[in-house]
Formats: sequence, C-alpha cells, structure tokens
Amino acid sequence: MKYCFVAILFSVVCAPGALAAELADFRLPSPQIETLPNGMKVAWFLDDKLPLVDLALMVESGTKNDPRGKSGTVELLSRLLERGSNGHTAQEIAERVESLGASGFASSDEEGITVGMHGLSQDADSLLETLAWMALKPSLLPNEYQREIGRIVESWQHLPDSVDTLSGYAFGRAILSGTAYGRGSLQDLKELRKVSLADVKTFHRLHFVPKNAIFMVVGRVNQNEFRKKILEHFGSWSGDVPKKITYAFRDPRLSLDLSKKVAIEKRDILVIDRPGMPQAQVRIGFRIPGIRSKSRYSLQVANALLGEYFNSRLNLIVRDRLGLAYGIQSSLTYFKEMAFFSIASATASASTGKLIEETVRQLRLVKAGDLLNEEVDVSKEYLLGGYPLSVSTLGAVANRWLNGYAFDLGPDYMNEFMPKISAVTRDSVVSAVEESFHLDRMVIVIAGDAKAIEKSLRTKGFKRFRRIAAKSLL
Amino acid sequence: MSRPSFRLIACLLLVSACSSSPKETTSKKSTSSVDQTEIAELERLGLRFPLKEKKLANGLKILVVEDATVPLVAYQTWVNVGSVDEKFGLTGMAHLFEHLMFKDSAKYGQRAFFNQLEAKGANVNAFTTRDYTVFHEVVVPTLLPKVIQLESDRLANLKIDAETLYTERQVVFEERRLRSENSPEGRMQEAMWSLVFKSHPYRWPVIGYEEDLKRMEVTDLEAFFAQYYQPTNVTLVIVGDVKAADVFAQIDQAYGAIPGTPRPARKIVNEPEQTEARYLVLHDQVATDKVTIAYPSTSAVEEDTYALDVLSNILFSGSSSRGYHQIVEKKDVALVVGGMNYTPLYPGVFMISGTMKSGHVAKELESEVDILIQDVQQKGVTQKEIQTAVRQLTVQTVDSVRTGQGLANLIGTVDAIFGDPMRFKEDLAKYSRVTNADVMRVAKKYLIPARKNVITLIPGTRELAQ
Repeated sequence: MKYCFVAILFSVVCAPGALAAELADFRLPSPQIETLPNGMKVAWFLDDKLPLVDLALMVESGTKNDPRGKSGTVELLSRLLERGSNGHTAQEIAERVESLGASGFASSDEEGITVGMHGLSQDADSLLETLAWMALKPSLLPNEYQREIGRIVESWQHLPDSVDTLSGYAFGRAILSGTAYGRGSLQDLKELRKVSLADVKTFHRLHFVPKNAIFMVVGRVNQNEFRKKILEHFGSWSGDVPKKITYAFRDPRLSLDLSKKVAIEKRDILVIDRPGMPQAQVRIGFRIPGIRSKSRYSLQVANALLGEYFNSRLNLIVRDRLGLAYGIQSSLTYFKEMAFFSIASATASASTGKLIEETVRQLRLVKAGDLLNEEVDVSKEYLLGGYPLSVSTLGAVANRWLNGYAFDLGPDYMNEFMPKISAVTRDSVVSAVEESFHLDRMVIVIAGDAKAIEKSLRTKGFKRFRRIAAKSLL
Repeated sequence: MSRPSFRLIACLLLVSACSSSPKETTSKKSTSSVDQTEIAELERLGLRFPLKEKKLANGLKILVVEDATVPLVAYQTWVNVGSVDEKFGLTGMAHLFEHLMFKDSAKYGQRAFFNQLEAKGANVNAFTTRDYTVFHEVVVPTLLPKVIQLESDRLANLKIDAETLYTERQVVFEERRLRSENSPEGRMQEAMWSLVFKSHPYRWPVIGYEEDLKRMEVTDLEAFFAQYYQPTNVTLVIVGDVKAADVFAQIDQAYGAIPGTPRPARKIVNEPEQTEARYLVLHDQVATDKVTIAYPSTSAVEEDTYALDVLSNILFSGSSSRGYHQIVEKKDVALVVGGMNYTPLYPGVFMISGTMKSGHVAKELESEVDILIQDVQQKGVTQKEIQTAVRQLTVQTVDSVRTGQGLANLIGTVDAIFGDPMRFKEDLAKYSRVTNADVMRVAKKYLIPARKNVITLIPGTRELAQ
C-alpha cells in the first residue's frame, strides 16, 4: 500500500528511454587548454554571442590548507586581495573596476581561492590587468589586515541572526567533524587572532604560484591578442608547487560519535536553540562515498528520486500530501576527499517531529529497496532532460569543467553525464543506496525554538537531544 | 568589491516577491519612441532581439524571439494580476492562486506540469509580484507542444476544491514563516511596505496575512480565476529555438477557443503625499541594529526614474560608491550598506538598508544617509560618477539577457508595464542623457525629510506579531 500514492502519480509518464535517445548526441563545448611556459594553465571558453567576459584565476589551495592552529589564514588572505594592490588603495582598485560597470571579487572555499572579474568585452584588457595586480601584487598592509580581522569578528557575531544560516553551520560542523573540512573557513575567533600578517604573506608567497593555478577566460575576446596580454601579466610569475597540509578538526559541542552504528532514535539530535522562532530549520544527512566512487551516478538518481525536484518522493509526501513544508530538498555535496548526502527543510516548530518521522521513514524504505522502476526511470529522465538546461550558458559549462578539473575527474568527465545516467538501473540504485545510505550514522540538526521542537519530537518517539544555545556556538 | 551591495539587493528582491525575484527593476520607462541611435548602441554591444508579435481573436497576446543558440525554449505566461488587485481582508490571493495553478487538471490528470514536464528535465515554476503573476518553463524544443497543451488547459479548465485549497494553504503558511516570520530581513521588508504605504495596496505583503488566507473560500478563488485568468489579461512570451510561425499556429489551436472577456480594469487607490517622517522600531535576536530607510519613489513609467536609478547607483552600487565608501569604509559604522530605486508599475520606493557594527546604532546610519543626500542636493554629482552608473546599468542590462529565460523576463516585464515589449531598447540611451541637474532635482524632489520612513530592528525579544 505504501506506494499507491506514488504509483498513481507516475502512471502518466511516457515510455522511459525516449528522451535519452533524443539527447544522445548532446555534447558540451570543450575548452582549449594551454599551459604557459611557467606552468600556469589557461582554459579558453570563447563565444561571441554577448559582449561580456568573465576572467578567473583559481589557486588550488583553500581553507582546508590553513596552517595548523591558524584557521582563518585563507579567509583573511582572500579578503586582503581586495584591499589594495600594486600601490593602489582598495578604493582606487574598486573605482578602476566599477567605473567600467564591471565587478571584481576574491573569494575562498575549502578547495581554493579565486580572483575574478566580470564586465564588458571591450574592457577585458583593463580587467585582466587589475586581476593580475590583485592576485600577484597585493599590498597586504597592516591597517587593512587589522580592518579585515575586525570585519570577520563582526560577521561572526551575526551568525545566529538567521536560523537558516545557523542550521547550515551546525550541520556542516557535525557531518564533517573529524575531517579537514570540519572547520569550514574559520574554526573560531581564538584561532583567527593567532593569524599574523606575516602568516598571510607567507601563505600567499607559497601558494600563489603558476603551477598551483588555472586561469579561465569565458566569453568574447580576441584569443591571439588576449593571450599576449595574459603572458604580459602572468608570464614572469614563478614558483614551485607548494607542499599542502591538511589536518582534522572536531568541534566537541557539535560532534557525534559516527563510528558506532546507532538508530537515530537512540542518537542525540542536535537542537540549536533560538527561542521564539515560529519555524524550525531541519538538516538531516550522512556521509557517502567520494566523487570518484563507482556508485556516484546511481546515487545521483537516488538523490533526484528522493528530493531534488517538485515530483520527488519527499516533496510529494511532505509538501503536497501533508502540507508540512514549503519545500524539502535533498542534495549530494562533494569535496575533493569527502562527500555527504543531506536533506534540508523548514516547518512549524510543532510539526518538526512529524516531518522528521516521515523523512526518516522514507529513507528507511529506500534503504530497504522499496523503489519502483518507474521512480528510477522518471528520475533518470529528469536528470537527462534537465542537463542541457543546467549548462545552457558558457559560464555554466566553464564551471562544470572547472569542477571536473579541480576534482581531477579526467578528460571524459564533461560528456560522461548522459551515458552514465542512462546506464543507471533500478538494481544499481538499490545496490548503491544499500551500500552508501548509512542511516545508523545519521546526523540531525534542528535550529529554532528548542522547547517547542523537543516537545514535537517527543510525540514521535525521538527522545535524545543535545540542546545548544545559539550564541554559545560563537 | 561589489559583494556587499549585491547581497543586500538579492535579499531585498527575494522578500519582495514570493516564488522568485521580481523583475520590475530590470527595465524601464519613458514615453518617446525609439530612435535609430538608441538601437545602434544596443547593436554595437551585440544585442539583437528580432521580436514577432501576434494577438489572437480572443485577446491573447503572443511575443516570440527566435534564438537557436542553444536547443532550449523559455515559455512564460504573464497574467496581469498581482497583490495590487486584492481586497484588504483577502490578501495573498494572487500568490495562493499561483500555487493552485499547479494542481490537478481534469484532462491531463494530477500534477501534470510536474509529471509531464519537470519529470523530463524541464524547469517549471512561477512567481507573483505586486503587479503580475508569471508562470515559466524552460524546455527542450520537443516538449514545447506539451507546454502549450498544459498551459492552455489550465487557463481554460483549472479545478479548485476545498481539499486542495486546505493543503496548499498550509504550504503557503510555511512559505510565509520561512520568508517573513523567521527572517529578520523579511520582517523588516514587510514592515517597510506597510509603513510607506497607508492607502495603496502595495501596503500589504505579496504573500498576504495568515488570517486572510484562512478566510478564503473556494468560491472566492473561482471568482478571482474567472476575472483575471482569461486571454485578454494574459501575454505569452516565448524565446528560444523555435520558429515564430509554428508557435503562433500551435498557440492559436490550443488557446483560440478560450473565450476572452474585457480586460479587468484596475481601480487602485492612490497613495496620498507623505507629509512627515515615519519611524517604526522592531526587536529581534540579532547581534546589532539593522535599519531600512525608504522614500516613496516613482513608478517605472515616469521619466524621473532614470535619474533616480542613476542616483541610487552613485550612492550604493559597489564598494566605490559614495554610500559604501562613506559609511562602511570611512566612518566604519556599518558592516554593510546598500540601496536601490525599486520602481514597479505604481510608484515604488527608494530604499537603503544596512547592518550596524557593534557599538553603533541605527541612528548613525540614518544621519550618514541624510548627509549623503544633502550633499547631492546641494553640490550635485560628477560627470564621471554618472558615467560609472550608466556603465553599471549597461552591464546589468546585458547580463539580464544571457539566457532565453532572462530575455523573456525582460520582455515580459517591459510589456506588462508599458504595453510595448521592446521599450527597454530606450533605456541605455535615456540613462546616458541623465545630467547632474537631473540628479540634483530628483534628490530634492523625492529624498526629503518629510518623505522619510525608517524601520529599525534592534536586539531584543521579538514581537509576537507585527
């Protein structure tokens, strides 16, 4: 009986496989890749359709490579790249870019630091020059260092302002606990204050080297002329590949012992308390095999089937049948050496128990192999048919290529999606889920009014909580 | 460099509409016709949009741009109904209706848009603004006939029943909690509109009030559907890998038999001129004060909008803007500040928002904004600043048409506001004609103390209900 509801909904779907055949010839444009004499790679995604250009230099050292005991170094460096370079102040650099109607940025994540520019093609030379200044000749001044330390501290205080941000932060710490990714961009303010300007300069000197970087050119430029400009600004850049270190981090307040198999009813649910909030933000997840796993595409189908689109199982039940949430989304998150599956939703505090009970029930059903062939077929069709949409701009294609490059997925990665998804079967999904859905190592984090949330959870048999005051996480 | 203001603007846009960002600000205004110089400027940038238009006998308007760059089609249904058309006491109906339009069809069954389009990879969604409601799909060309079937069917035959209404209302309550009640910025936005507007229907939120949503009956919704969801009140915008003649023929066949009644006339109460500053203080569990300052502004169709847009960019677009430089960099009183001139179909708001640094209060930001405005009123702006603003607006326009969906949004918005889908071609030239005198004049006319509205959110125990 449990599938009647789902089966009815799939009864009008056309024959599976038709769309796959229709899109069989779909191919993404490949970039031209070249390596400069100094080892810096350049990837060209050229297109004349619009008078726009995007330039980005990605350095393949990120927050996971922060020096031990000095978490925040990479975050500080990426902020300081915007704070003056080549003898110009931050204001002068900003004016130089913005007077062209363009925008520039420097940002970091766990895997890398990126400096980028976006603007009109006619301004590509000027944008390139400014980007090169920011990346290669940052001023890294003491007053700017102090300013950015202050701004990070200020931003950190605002973390509990939003329960959405709060739940995401706590969930990230819990699911990635004990890994190099467990710190995020900053472990805590205590560590940040140990990062000196000299540490930032050292990190820049060691990691900003051509053999640790790739430069992306996307949009309309004259390739021959622009190559000369790239050589002009980056040709004399030098340095050897840096030694990268990583180390694990565990936040005791948000760590669960995931080494032991424990039913979720007998494991602590982390409740981040923000009294008075009418709605609870819920995150549920567990680790899965990494991006190079053979089960990756089968898991992608399983994820779509569960919660990637309006007609996915969790949305059908939690949103449309029960009216418990505006939306419920599942996703697969991949880092270079780590991955997890997660579900995110928000519901009235009093409905939290019901939402979690139903979500866990569906996960257990899927884990037990209760999957319809039709569900698998529809999810495949959804992924195959949606693929051209997801790469409909050159920027999207370039981003996809960059992911494959950063994760070292090989030259076939760009065009393997369609055949690999087409090859997924119900059996392979069942097998991948059975092997990868570690429900007895599940993490649940809820942010909101703890009193109301815990009351709701108790009515559904969830009785173990770890209540954490939002501000205590700072 | 531009991150702070981009974040703020994204936030403002998200809470102003319900399912997606509104599109009122992407293009604008004016009354004069397009001249060849203006078109040449767009073509110099490589922007060419050959648009074909047809109107069916029942009043349905169809706009098509052929673009085979990628094998995709953006299909948008613009319904000329938004929260501005609601009655006070039944607020949120336009948005609730957007949800109900995805429910069952007698002819095509349950959840047809999801079963027959999304299940094949199509992007299917909708959004509601204060002025209009838009249903949009992006599909591969072979799915276009199915889109036309389903869209025409729900325009002609939507089914509404009490059970569907009950469930979808619960979903909307959760959406309201998510966007407004649980979010400090969402609460401030809702408060801002109700503070600025005392008579005009812009005063209530697009998503409506919970008590009003509970009050709605199936009969109310059926009457709403009959009045607004009919061909004379709808424009279809199709951009992508299609042939216009084929699309016109398919649409004629699918929609042609739907009867069109006279387009419903809007009877909107004008907002009286604000004569004194208004202040509202809210409390929430936030680290520092947050503040939003809003001045009643222009509608998209007014000429002054161009100068106000340029002024908002000079003050708040990017980290080299006057406002960001003065408030965040020099005085160092706020963590972030941003602003925009938001101009929908009826007069909108010129708004500024910021988050204070610890040890600083909202009043300081208000004072700094006063000084910035007075400076423009008394000394004006430089030609270089105007040029920067125009370049920013140019890049913004080009960015907005990167995809078929983006171009369809732009055409649909401009058509909904002006009744002329290609009016956006005038924008860049009109922006470039803005002078220092124009900027000073609009600053003196619109940004005066008696028209100021200030909403402050300060750390404390949040109010149970606003």
